[in-house]
Amino acid sequence: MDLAVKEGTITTLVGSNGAGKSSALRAMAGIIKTEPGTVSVHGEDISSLSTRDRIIEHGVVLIPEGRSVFTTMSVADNLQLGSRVGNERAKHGHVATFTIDEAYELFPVLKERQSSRAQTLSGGEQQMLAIARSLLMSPKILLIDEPSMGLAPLLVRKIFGVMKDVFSRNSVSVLLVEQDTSIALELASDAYLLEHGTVIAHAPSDEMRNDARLREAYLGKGDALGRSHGTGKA
Amino acid sequence: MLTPYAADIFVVAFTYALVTLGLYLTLLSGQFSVAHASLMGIGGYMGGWATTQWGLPFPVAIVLGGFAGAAGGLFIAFTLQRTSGILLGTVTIAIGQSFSLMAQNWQAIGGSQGLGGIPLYSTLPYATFLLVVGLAAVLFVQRTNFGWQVQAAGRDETVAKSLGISIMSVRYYGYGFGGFLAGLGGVLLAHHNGVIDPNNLSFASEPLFFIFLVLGGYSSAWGAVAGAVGVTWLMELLRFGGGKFLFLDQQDRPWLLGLVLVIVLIISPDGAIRRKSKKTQLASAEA
Amino acid sequence: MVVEILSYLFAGLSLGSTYVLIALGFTLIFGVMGIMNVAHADVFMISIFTYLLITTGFDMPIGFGVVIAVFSGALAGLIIYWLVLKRIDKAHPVALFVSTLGVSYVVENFIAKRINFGRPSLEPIFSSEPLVIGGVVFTGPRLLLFAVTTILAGGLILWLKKSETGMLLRAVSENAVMARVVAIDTNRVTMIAIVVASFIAACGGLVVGNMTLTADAFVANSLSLKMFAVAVVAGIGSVGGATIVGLTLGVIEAFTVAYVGSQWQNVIGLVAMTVVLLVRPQGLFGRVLRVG
Repeated sequence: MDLAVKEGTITTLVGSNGAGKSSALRAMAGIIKTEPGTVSVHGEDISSLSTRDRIIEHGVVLIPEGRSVFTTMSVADNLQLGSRVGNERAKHGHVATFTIDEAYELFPVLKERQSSRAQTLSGGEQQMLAIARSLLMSPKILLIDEPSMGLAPLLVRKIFGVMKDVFSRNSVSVLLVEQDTSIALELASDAYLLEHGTVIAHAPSDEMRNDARLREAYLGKGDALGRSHGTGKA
Repeated sequence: MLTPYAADIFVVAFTYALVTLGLYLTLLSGQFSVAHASLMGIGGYMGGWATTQWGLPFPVAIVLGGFAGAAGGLFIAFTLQRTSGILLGTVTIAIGQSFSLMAQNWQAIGGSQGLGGIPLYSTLPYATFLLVVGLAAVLFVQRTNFGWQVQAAGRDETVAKSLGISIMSVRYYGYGFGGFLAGLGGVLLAHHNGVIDPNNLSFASEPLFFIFLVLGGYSSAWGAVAGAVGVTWLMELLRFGGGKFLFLDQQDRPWLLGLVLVIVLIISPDGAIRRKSKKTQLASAEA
Repeated sequence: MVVEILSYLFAGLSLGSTYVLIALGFTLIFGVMGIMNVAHADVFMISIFTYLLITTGFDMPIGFGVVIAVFSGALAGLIIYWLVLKRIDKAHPVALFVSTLGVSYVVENFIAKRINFGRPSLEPIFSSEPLVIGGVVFTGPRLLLFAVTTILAGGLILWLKKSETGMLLRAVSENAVMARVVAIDTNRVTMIAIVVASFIAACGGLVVGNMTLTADAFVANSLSLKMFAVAVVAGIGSVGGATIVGLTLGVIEAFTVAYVGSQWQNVIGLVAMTVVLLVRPQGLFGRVLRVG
């Protein structure tokens, strides 16, 4: 699979279940192995770096799928885990421009519940917490895995709207994996279509939206009578 | 023929082989129970009690001891049916220690002195017979359909279940028959030493059986037997002629053996104990 | 009658304190590493023998012996981790577990051989005129045991809650994979956990040794049962829970010995463990089943 994310933009990976989207993100973050194949940032090969090094030195930050917060820890602690990283990155010359105060401003509900255990937050609130934490880590490349899962589309759009400003201010490049193609193509400027672990299409979002291969990947190819088979998405 | 000395070593070796075979069986069926030393002890106490207190003939005592071990094993299988893996291993260690400490305080069965005055019935013919029969039984079952099911379940319970294999049956076999074999070993041991005490129940000697199993080639019943017999003899030969080798003498053998076990496990962990966790299976599937 | 009951209560608390001191480290390691380190109980034993070596063997001052014993206990735990535990991939949990059994066997038998399988006596670290309060006798060693247990257990709980490193440890305990996603150096955190755990076990060995005044190379064989029971009943990685459960177990055992029969003392932990595994596997105080 050959992917490239343009700096300062939001790119999305779409494809039906099992296409390998999540795995791609996890490989980029260093959580799973990628032999053969390489991952590079600005041309520098980081394939042999640990997850931690990728974060600290290159700002490659992953927001994993699902509720990716520490449920037994408080909201404030979860955020602190993020700002620790931001501080460490600052020592490596990547000054943090996103602060905890800003995080609380962006997501007021987090400020309200700062001493509550993350477990008591709703799904959307936990997602906000995960995102806030990730922003505190001064990411340069943000890998987001299925943010809309279990959340109302309206909420997802709202959260992203709020984040776009942060992205452009800090020139963060985003790679977004999404099951929900309409949201994905709305938020991203560029799109890759994945199927069975390979890229079968790459185009700007507007074009991808109308690409027949997109429908096929999700709904399966039609038979001679024009009926479509396959898994399809809800 | 064999000297009395050699015959004696073989009796001990075959006794250990039976217990190791029991351990092999239990592990094969996918259950990480490490209570075999205790099941051996239970068998020994039962057998010893049978001959000393009830005056029963040796063959009867043997069978009783075997069943005592099996009963212990089945009890573990039943109560811990929802536990598996390391947690199970830990509980079974706890069982061993618990029984040993309990026996120490139980005057009725001899307390910390144990049960003494057990007649020395364990001769080579008995030991050989039991081992041969035990090994034959294990090998026989392995060739049957059920034996195949046991191995399948041992490799991956989820897959086995979806193939309609009854996991509980497999477990009862692994623990029950494994316990039976351990119990047999216990009876032999009791009637070889003339005494059985709480130490024989404790977990302390369990690593020994792992050493036998791992060094003998964990993946077959023959390996279990060969390991036990081979290492027991090796230990005998390593008596360093009663003297010293560098700073080591015969009392150093236990920890040296343990060291070998640890080294083997570091070098070849998936070779040593077969079952890989689901994670590796998924990871290799994902790659 | 009241005096009798109080005596049993405090005897139970003594017993329980021992269990707490050994279980704290075990559950910490289990939480952070996800492995059950059977050899942890042997760190307890190693510190006792180091003390023996320094004070009786080399005839050095007791204070010296204490310091070196604690230090070498902590070091021993780290060495075991570095030489063995670290080198077996967690993808082979059974091999890892058996290796801890192996290490335990090696350490116990090696030390036992050095003292010719005997049971040497120890020089007391701290003894004083027994205090008698309300008819209950508090010997010097017992007071030391209570004091040390309170300080170590309380200290550990506070440290985990309030310090940044404690927070990192809690994160890794909950989800090791996610911890890596937030750039936590899991290797470093694991080593810290091991040193802390071994330090506590080493202190435990000394204060308990001070009470029994004997060095037994195979002490782990009676102690690890309680270590497992407390950790499992309390729940993975739950330090506060382990404290409560450990003390409770000790008290229940003491009353059992007094009023029921001594042979049942060591079955209680086992029964509690089994029941918890059947009914509430994550433990009484465990909140999540560990991930990663």
